[in-house]
Amino acid sequence: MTSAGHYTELPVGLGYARWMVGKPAEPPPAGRSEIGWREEEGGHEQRGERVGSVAIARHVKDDGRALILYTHREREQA
Amino acid sequence: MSDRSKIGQRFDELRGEEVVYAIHRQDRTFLPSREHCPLCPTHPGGSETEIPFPAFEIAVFENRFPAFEAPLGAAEVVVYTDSHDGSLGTLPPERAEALMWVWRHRYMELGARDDVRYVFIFENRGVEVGVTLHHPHGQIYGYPFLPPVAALELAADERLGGCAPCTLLRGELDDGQRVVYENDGVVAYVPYAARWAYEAHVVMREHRPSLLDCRAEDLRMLATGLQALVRGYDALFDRPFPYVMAVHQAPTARASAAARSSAGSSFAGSSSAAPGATAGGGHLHVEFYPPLRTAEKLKYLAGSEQGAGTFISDTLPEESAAALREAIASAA
Repeated sequence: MTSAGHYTELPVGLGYARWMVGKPAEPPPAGRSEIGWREEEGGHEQRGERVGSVAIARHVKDDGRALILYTHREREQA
Repeated sequence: MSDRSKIGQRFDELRGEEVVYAIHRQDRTFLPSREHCPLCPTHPGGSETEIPFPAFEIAVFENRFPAFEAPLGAAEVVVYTDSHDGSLGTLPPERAEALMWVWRHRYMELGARDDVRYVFIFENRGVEVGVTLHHPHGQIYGYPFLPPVAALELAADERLGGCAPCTLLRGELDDGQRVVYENDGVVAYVPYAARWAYEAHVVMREHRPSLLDCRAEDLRMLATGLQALVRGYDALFDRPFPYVMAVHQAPTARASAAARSSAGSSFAGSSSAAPGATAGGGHLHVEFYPPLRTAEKLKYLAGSEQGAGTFISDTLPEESAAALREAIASAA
């Protein structure tokens, strides 16, 4: 491909964003559904993070993409 | 990761701006049926969606069809709710407030990356602006360069000798004709030189360069103001109102430092600020560009707008503001 000016091509399969934590997803244990396993065990989520009134749960999707779930918590009294 | 074969950018020397090529996006999901919505939760026994959980409140994930990807930027999807229907305007107030915290968190994390120069939070609503998924959601791009509109806003700071949105807000409040909504934290108005018939800007009343500079009460007021405006839009023509919503705030430190350096600026802000921090310029505000000029007629970007870069508007901002103000009041 020719280019006037600069053209930056990115190779396929670049690493995850550096802030991403956790490992690539693994299959659920035998006899347990993907959803149920993640729900019960937390999958690869990192617990305890919070911003303002929101709790943060980090996950990694099966294809390696980051997924973050945010859950509203009642505001703490000042 | 995405299955894209290539993402690239080229610099248009004639216009002096970057053009991004993300060829894989031709294949992205296009207006799927409700049953096949990828942003709905995954129900037991059903096929897996982007969110493999049976319920959630707000979800953010890396776009499967990204326009930007590490190590040259980021593209994320922000799903406002696990309900397929509704909009930013119909979220429960506490959910809308939580969304502001989510935006703030994403701004902080993406802005801390070395490959992200500008964090842009936005929403496209309605097929009129090219929406491909109806489920209530927005997006975030982490640009690896300072995009032109952000650069123009920094240039406006230079031209006006300080924070341009602060100056413009004072003018709008003094005039009052175009103000459509106010609360303790934000003011919404149709700008003096609105390009779109019902364009509106929701501006932080106090100088807040970015979401990171907002207190909890600021975020609550911002959420309240955004919801009031969107509900007013829907009431205006008694139909879901399409728009592009653009959250404008300070570039992250490296980008604004570079912009100041290239402009020889002395505008406030430290060029030695830590990566991820905001530095100089920027005033958090949210711009809405609705394409409707009447209930049935769309504004198209045609010859003058595309070929010469000059908008020709069919409506006066003061008249649009009066109608929008009334619609917001009626929807309250």
